[in-house]
Order: sequence, then structure tokens, then C-alpha cells
Amino acid sequence: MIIGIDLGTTNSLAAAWIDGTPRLIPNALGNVLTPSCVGVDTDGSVLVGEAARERLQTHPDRTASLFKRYMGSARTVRLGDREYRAEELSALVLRSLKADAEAMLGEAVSEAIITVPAYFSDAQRKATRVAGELAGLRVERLLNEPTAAALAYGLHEAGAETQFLVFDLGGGTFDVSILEMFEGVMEVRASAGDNMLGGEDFATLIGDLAFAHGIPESARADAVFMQRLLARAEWAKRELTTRSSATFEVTHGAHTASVTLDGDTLEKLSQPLLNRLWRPIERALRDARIRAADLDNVVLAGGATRMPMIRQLATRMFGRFPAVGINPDEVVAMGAAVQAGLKMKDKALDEMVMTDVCPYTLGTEVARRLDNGAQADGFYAPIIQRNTVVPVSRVERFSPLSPQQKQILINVFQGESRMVRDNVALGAVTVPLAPGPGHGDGVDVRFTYDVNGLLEVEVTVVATGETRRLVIEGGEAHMPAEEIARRLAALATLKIHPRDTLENRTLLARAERLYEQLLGDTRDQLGQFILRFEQVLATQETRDIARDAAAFREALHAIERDYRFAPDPAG
Amino acid sequence: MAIPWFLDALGLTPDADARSVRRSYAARLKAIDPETHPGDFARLREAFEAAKSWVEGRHPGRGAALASDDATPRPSDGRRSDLPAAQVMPDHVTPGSAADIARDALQAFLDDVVADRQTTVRVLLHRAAGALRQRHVDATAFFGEGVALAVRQQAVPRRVELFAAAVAEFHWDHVGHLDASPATGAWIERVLSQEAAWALLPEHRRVRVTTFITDVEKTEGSLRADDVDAWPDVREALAAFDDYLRLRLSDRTREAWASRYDALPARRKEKLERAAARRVAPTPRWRRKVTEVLTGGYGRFFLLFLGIRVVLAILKQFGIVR
Repeated sequence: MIIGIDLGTTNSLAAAWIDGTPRLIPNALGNVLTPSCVGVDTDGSVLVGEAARERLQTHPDRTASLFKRYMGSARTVRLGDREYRAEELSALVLRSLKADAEAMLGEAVSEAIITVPAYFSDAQRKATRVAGELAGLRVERLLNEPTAAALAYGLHEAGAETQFLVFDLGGGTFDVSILEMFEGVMEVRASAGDNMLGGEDFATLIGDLAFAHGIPESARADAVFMQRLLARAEWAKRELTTRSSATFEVTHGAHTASVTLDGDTLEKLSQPLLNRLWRPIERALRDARIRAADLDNVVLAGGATRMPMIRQLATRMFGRFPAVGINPDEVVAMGAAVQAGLKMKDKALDEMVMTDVCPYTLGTEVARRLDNGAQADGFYAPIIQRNTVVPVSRVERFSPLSPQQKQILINVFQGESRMVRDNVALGAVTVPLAPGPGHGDGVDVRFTYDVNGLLEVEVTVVATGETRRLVIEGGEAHMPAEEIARRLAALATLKIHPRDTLENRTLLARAERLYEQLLGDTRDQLGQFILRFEQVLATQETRDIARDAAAFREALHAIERDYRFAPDPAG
Repeated sequence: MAIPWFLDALGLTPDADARSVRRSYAARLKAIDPETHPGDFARLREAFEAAKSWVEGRHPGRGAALASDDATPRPSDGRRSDLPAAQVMPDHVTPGSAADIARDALQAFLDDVVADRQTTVRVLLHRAAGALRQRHVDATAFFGEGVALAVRQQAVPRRVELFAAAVAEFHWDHVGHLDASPATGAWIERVLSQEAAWALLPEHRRVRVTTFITDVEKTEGSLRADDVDAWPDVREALAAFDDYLRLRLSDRTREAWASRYDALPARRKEKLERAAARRVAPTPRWRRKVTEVLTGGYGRFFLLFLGIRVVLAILKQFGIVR
């Protein structure tokens, strides 16, 4: 069984292709959204999901979130007594989703389709694949998120001839894809994106308002406070999807800030972020060579598209209302499950096939002789143009600059600038050139880009047939196989919090978070509740625990309602 | 007549239309797995793309229309954006809200470029494009093309600034622009590469030409004698860097300048031509060759050897050595 996984910046989901339809997989708490948070409990056991998210505010030094943004970099986070890379933290989330899937399907799961932002680079894609490996999952395919959304959408539109655009604004990334559907073929025409733009940036912006309302700048160094602030800001952002205004309060030492904002204020505040949405959209339309007016539909994906201002903007931008009916939080995971069905050659999907594109231009560096005879280097020679249908293999021939040249250096770049200094260097390979006849023929450089978005470079000396293969390793973030094996072994020794008691652990984490935020009588009262619940848990009497847990949850609900704190995220 | 290979590969006859091309591609695609048979997929894909553009060429649709706007340069005095925006809008823009919005915005923007000298063109453009984006996404694309045409047709002053601003705003310098809009793209490509080559010329030559151009543009056609005398230099530069220098020099000024120069007495022109030729002439081939040989690996030994012989000869002359 192959499962589909949407490994998100804020939340992750798993889905499976069951009986000819995609189905979301609930976690131990019965929710389909599992927060992409990982924490280490005081007893050393690892908590993933809701419990970890609650603990972000009480134990920021032992909890990590938003690590998808560091994928493909060597950056590590310290939790308790150990450093973790983004791949490992992602692996822990994947492992938890895998356990959920196994609980629901009643069988072992060892293969998965994992979605990545379309604009993820080679290094980021490799890191995602490593994360899968570390979680004990064979990654059958890395699927672009907007393409996944399109697959889920296309399932409803089977047989139609249509052109549509997927506007995917997730927690941390923004992607745009333009697709065409005909005769059961789902063809991605163009993709573009911004890897550093998402819902979290809007929450940060709201949180920053507190510093203009009386909280001193020095409070930024206080991790507990910052997490609390961010949670309030996130709450306010969500409130504004259904209400016209929202107010939140935060206290740091002697300072208290009360921030009230409405939709208009938020929109004005967000202008710098909203302006960044344009560039990928314009490029995708231009590359697909269509006008927005020619689109039949606009599909929204990603939780951040719930924000009314984003919906309004999309409506204004494309002069039409976006498609409704698909939950933007779930559509990517659903599409991943459709891809799993395709991969398993399910009969229900017999008439469907999907092609995707490479979102970046890939090329090499060349020197050029200019009109006046001078020679200048640093020029970018594209080999695979962006938005070429994948898999693709292209070859270009390059000649040495002078007859005395003894070797040729092939620098590999990704990007759209005419000069290589503005593009991203992926790697380099040097091939020797023998003097004599055929020296001037130079080398053939072959770029092969597969369906997973991974690049392979092969350089052949034309005269001798000698071939060098360049393995793009993702620069500083590269993990050699031994390193992966070592980290896999290390992860295996981690104690994961048992799944069956995760719900109660989450309840306690939430209560502890509330306890830290409350004052006076209510705080004492909650303290009593916590103590009592811990005692009941210690008895291990299942029925008593269940009864008490229900009462406990009710009490927490009531307290949260009264104090306008971040509401129950599961509700 | 032989059937083109791509039709053959798709199992089609020459009467195929867009729909049958797609249908045949779809059927064949479903039979192969691109992941395990990338070679088969690549061949199918190539045939599909070739067939698509072949069909499009026979029945030009909206895809082909995008590629067919070749702008004929129109002279302008460069002081007033007197060319109605409608005239610089690409021909293929059909009337509709996006095009109308873009046309109005372009006219307002071009007027601002003329009137508002206090604000940089970069800021004006960013403001105009930003406001347009809030209204309609297609409008910005039309607007960008309109800006390119306005610059190319010299319908607006401050073109060097405007071109640089548009490169930053619309990412004209990115690769792939050429494919996306062929006519504008080719012109942008020429300007950018000429600009890069221009920057590599010796500074004194660049400054001489641009100073005279700026001067002449400022005097609005009433050329002084030494401006007229500088024409041969400017003409040489224009020959190699036409598209780039047209950002600086309007066609109208250029014509006036050339005809004033033509009116000079033949003797004077001859003298000026010789002087200009001396300034730009590359080092003669034989001199370059000799320098190359003398400073090359063996050349240096030869020079050293010659030097020692000369020193020895002098020493002998004075009887210091025998």
C-alpha cells in the first residue's frame, strides 16, 4: 500500500487511495491535520503533533516547528540534549503519520508519495527524500503540491477539456501552476513560486503589532513570550476569516499590549506580502502563454487561502470567483492519494495520466566572445528551459575557448538570470581535454531531470568518449549514505510517545500551556484539575481515564472561551 | 507528399486538427510509463509538440497571435509622450476590460514620465504596475508589452532609465523571456547584449559618444559646430550598438544630425573621417602579431638573448671584455 503525504510547514496530512477514492487518514486524536511540530518530553520521549504544538509555548527550548523552511540546509535545532536536522524532524512527523495510516489500514505501510512545493530546489527535494528514508518510508515519488491539488480537483472534472490555475498558499510556501486537461491527460503547463511566503508570514506580521502597542523590543529574546505572541497572532488571523475584527492581549513582565485589528488594517499591513504574490502568477501565465481571461477556473489550495483578503485578491486578480467545494487544507493530501492510486495502477484511474514540468531553468556557465572581440565570462547557458515537461534529457555541446586549453570546467546552475552570479550554483565537474585532433570539438553536457525533480549531469568528451557524471549533492546540506544510516540508527533509539495515550498527553500539554498563561483563582483551579487528571492517569484504569478526560476537556474549553486565548485548534 | 514524421509518430494523416492531435497523444501517453521509459516518452512528447505547432501554423489561433507583433519604429521628438497609448499597445490586444485598463494606465504612466521629473522612473513604474496589479492580472502583462513598445518606438523620453526600471520590474533580463514573447523578447535581448558589450568599450570612447548624444538631445536640434563634427564617432557607435543607443538618441535627432553633417564641405568631412577612424581603429594586425610573438614564451627568450648580445657588443666596443 502506498500512502500520500502532504508534509506541510504548519500541518501535515496523510491520505490513502481506498476503494477507488482518496480518503484522509485521522491521527490518534481523530484529526486529519497533524501539526508539523516535534517536542521532547521531560522524560525524553518524543511528542509529535498537537501535544508538541501546545508545548511550543511552555517549552520552546524542547520543541520545534516550521522546520520545513530549513529543508535542504545544514541548520540544526537543539531539543533537550540532542541536535536535530530538518530532515530528522520531518522524519518524526512522517513516522507519526505512518503509524496513523497503519492503525487505520491495519497493515504495514512502507511506501509513500510525499508532496513538495513546486518551487522546491534540488537540495530541498533531496532532503525531503532523506526524511522519508529516515522515517522508514520508500519515497515512490516526490509530487509537486499544486499538481497534487490539481489531481484532486481533476478527479471531479473527469473528461472535461479545461484550463485552470492552482493558487497554492500554504503555511510557508507559495506556488502557482497552470494546467490543461484534455482526454484524461492532466498537463502542467507552467509552475512558479516563492519558497519563503506563506500563512506564517502573515501571523508574524500581526504579532509584530504588539511591539507597537507597548511591548518593548527586548521581549523578542524571550522565546516563551514570542511563542505565546505568535499563537495569539495566529488566533487573531483565524478569527478574521469569520469576523470583522479581532482583539488579543499579551503581557511581558510589566508591559501589556492590547491589539485590535480588522480586515482592512490587516490588508494594508500585508501589502508587502501581497505584492510578492504577483511575480509567480505573472511568470506562470507568461510561460504558459495564456491570459488569465482564458482560464476556466482558479483552484485554491493551502490553508492561507482561507483568509478573506487572499480570496478577494484572487477574485480580483482573475476576474472570477475561485472554485469552491474542495477543502484547501486537504486538497493536496487528497491529490497525493490520487497519485498513489495512479502509481498502484488502480483500475478506477485507468483513463487518467499526469505530466509535470521542471519549474526552474537549469544550465551551465559559459564565456562569450563579444562583438568587439573581447571575451567575457559568467554568462548563463540554459540547457533545460523552465517549464519543460519532465522527464527530460537535453544535451548541448560546448567548445574550449583556446586551442591550448587542457580542461573544461562545467559549472551547473539553477535560475533565471542571464549572469550566473545571480543564479544558484548546484555543483561543478572538470573534464580533461587531450590536445590534438578533435580537441576543438569540446564536450557534450547532458542534463537529465526526472519526474521527481532530481537532476543528473553527464559530461562526455567528444574526441575520446570519456564520460564524467556529476552527482548534485545539494551543497553544504548534503548527507552521505553513512551519515543517513547513522542518523537512522540514532532515530531508532528515540522513545516515541505511545500512540494510544497521546490524546491524554495532548490534553495535559494544553492544560500546562493554559496554566502558564492564567493568573489568580482560575490558575489555582486549573492546577487542581491537572493534579487530579495526572492521578487518574497513574491508576491506568481505562474507563476512569476516559471519563475524566472528557470532563477535563470540557473544563479547558470553558476556560479558553472565557479568556479568549487561542481556541481549541482541533475544534 | 511525405507525411511529416510527427504525424506519422502520432498515427495521424495530414488532415489532422488540434483535437485529433491531442486525442492521439493522450491515447499513446496512457500506454507508456514516462518514469520507466523516458526515451519513448521524450519521442512522443517531441512529436506532440511538433504536431501542435504545425496545426497552429495552419490555423493561427490565439497562441500564434501573440508572436506576431513587429513594431515599426516611429520617430518622436522625445519631449512629450504625444503618441496615444492606443498606438503603442500591441495589435493583438482585443478590446476588453484588461486591455482597456492597461491602455489607460499606460497613457497615465507615460504622461507621468514626461511631467514628473522629480520622481525616478523606477518609482513611477513600480507605482503604476502595482496599482494595475490590484485590478487585473492580464492588464499588467499588456502594460509591460506596451512599455516595451513605447521605449522601442521612442514614444517616451528618459528611455535609459525606463528600460532599466522595466528590467527590474518585469524581469526582462531573465532567460526564457525570448520564448514567452518573441517580438519584444528579441529586442530586449539585443538591447541587453549591446549594453553589456558597450560597457566593455574603452571609457574615453563611451564617454565621448554619450556626452555628445546627451548634449545634442538637450539642444533640441540646434546643433553647435563641434556637435556636428562629432557625428562620425557617433555614427560608428550607432552601427554596432544601434538598439542600445536608440534608448539615448531619438531617430529624429539622429536624422537631423546626419543631414547637418552631410551639408559640411567635402574637404572638412574627409578630415573629420580620418580623425575619427584613428580614434576607433583597432591596432593593425601585423602590430598585434609582433607584440604577441615578442611577449609570448619564446619571444621573451629571444628578446633576452638580443639584449645580452647588445650589452656584450657595447662592452666589447669599449674594450671592457674581449
